Amino acid sequence: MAIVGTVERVDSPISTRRIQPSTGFLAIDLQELWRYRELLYRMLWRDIKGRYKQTFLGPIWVILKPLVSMILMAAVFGGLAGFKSGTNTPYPLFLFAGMLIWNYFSSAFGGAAGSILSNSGLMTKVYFPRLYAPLATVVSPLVDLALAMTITFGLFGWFGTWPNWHIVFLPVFVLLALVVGMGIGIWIAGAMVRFRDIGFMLPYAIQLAMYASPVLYPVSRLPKPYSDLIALNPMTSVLDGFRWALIAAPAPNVGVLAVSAAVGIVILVGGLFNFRRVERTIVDHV
Amino acid sequence: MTEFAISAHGLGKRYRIGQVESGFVRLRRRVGRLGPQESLWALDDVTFDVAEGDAFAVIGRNGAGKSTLLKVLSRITEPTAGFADVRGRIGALLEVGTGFHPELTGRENVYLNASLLGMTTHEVDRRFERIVAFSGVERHINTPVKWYSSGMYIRLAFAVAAHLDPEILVIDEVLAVGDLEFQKRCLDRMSEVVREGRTVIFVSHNMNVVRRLCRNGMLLDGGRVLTTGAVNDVIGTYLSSIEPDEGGRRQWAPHERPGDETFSLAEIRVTDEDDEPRTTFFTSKPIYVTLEFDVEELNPALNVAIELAGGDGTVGFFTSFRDMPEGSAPELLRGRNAFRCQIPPGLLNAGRYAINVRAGLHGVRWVAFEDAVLHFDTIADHGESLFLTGAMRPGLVAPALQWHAVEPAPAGERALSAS
Repeated sequence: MAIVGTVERVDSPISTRRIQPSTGFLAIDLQELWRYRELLYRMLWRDIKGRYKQTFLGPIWVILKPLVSMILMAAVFGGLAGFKSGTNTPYPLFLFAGMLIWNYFSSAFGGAAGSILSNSGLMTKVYFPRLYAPLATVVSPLVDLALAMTITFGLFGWFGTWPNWHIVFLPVFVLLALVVGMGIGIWIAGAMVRFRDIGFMLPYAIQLAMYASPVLYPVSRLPKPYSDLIALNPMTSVLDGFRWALIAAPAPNVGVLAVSAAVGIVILVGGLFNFRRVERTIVDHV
Repeated sequence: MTEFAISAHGLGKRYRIGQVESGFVRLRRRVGRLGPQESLWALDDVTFDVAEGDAFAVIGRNGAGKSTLLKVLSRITEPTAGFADVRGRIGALLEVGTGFHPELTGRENVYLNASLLGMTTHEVDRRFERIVAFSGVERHINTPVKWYSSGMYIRLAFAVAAHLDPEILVIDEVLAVGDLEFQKRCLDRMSEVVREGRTVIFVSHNMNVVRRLCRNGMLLDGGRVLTTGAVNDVIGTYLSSIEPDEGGRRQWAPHERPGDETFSLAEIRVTDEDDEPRTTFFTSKPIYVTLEFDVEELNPALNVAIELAGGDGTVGFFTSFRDMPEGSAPELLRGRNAFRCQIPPGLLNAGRYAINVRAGLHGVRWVAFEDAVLHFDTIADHGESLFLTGAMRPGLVAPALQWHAVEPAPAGERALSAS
């Protein structure tokens, strides 16, 4: 005689996922991003270590680049063309602070825009939250920024000015630069896979954008309609705020700052939705 | 009702054809100047269930949609139609070295790779020793992988993937890499995974491996499901669906033929009982090797032979038509000759074989000495016990030989032979 017992099936925590064509607006899957959080850290480490591979001077290059271009630009625009900072901040310092954050923005933006292409080898082979590809590329140049910032202290000594309490707000504006770089970058990332021409256009676009942003000049030097219009450029708030925080430049126009920052955030939010739409099948086009 | 691991219903994936067209053409298409692109259903109405704990094979020839199916299931890309319910994490065994960064050390790459596969640092920590031991690169684990040999690279990559713990493991042709010894270890590890009761989806062209690892399977053709069921049936359907002219035959143009006026090789083919050239055979059935050659000048010293060699070139045996007793050997004629040799059932092992052609004037010179003119694969299915153990037999041949119990020799004789 057999003893018949019933085995209670314990409900396992294994979840069922339905794979199907998605439609409509797609929100970011925060839960999944959290689950894969370590991947972001590993990808960052990969980017950072890869960047300084086998260079003797390594980080020195990161410091030299903005310094040299600052000296050149200061000589041309400050010396020959007679650009001024518009306040009692020395023009080279004004310029250097602007170039620091602009350089960060341009590598963040360029990296995010190319992030799908540069990670296509991975993306065609394995699933991971695609958003981490652009996110890693905008976070890793922060290391460069931090390194390059050390030189500002040399400049402070040279020009005899020092930062004040504003500096505690520095991270806010660095974050804003990240938001803008990532925002514009991920709008372009998907399109860049399908239309490679964009990759050739980007360096020119960044160059042009620099002249349309208050890197070389202060907003206060612009004639009337332009000094308002420049509020639509999200980098205006980044540059003004960054200078205000780092080199104690005078406070920017609050209206311009708010509009510009809002534009940056809107671009990012729109970009995130667009990215979600694009990422679903982007590997089919790689 | 058994729990399913994967349940797919009407899964479809459409690709636009001609994706290599330039960005400019695509731009014009976008703008609407050109008509819509042609499209192709790489997967078309694919419906199947995989039970939990099953080892499930997806087979079919190139372009049948196997890889697309894996991509859809592992969420690399989205389907165009239908849906699939997947219970648990799907882990894909990555193509070797995917996600490895040359500047990172072996250790760092293990962690990077594992996090790509959805494992946490904590999970990797627990398995790290085993992963490293499996890969056999202990001494170099803190060296950047760019200094690794390709073999070390592959072994480390596989080791990470093989120690993953997803509920469903997807494997696409990875066993084609590494040396024989390592391949064997990979296979053993796969069998272990299957035995542990993990669900495994396996895609391979190697029917031996499929047969050994999988219980059930599905045959895809042109994006559609041809058949699903027990793996042996599916493999059988697959083999009989292969067009005869897809392989198993090699012909030489007149000016390229090996040999001279005494023997000039025109064609060689390996065929089954129905005289169909094939590239894959079951060892329980005879395999026929046919040589067609022209003789302009009859030479009584001419011998025509073949060697059967293993995938690594080791010769398994040599056989010539002169092995036949006088009188029953085929006779050489002026003009076209076609000689056929039968490889008996129950002789060959599972694996890949090459045919070497050897023709010579006995004691004078070789006329044709051609290595590996044709390859074929075998699936070992002769002998009840022979291939059920999982591991492959060593050796180029695997005959099922006679074993009998006999009377032990008298004690005195044993002592004598031992001294």
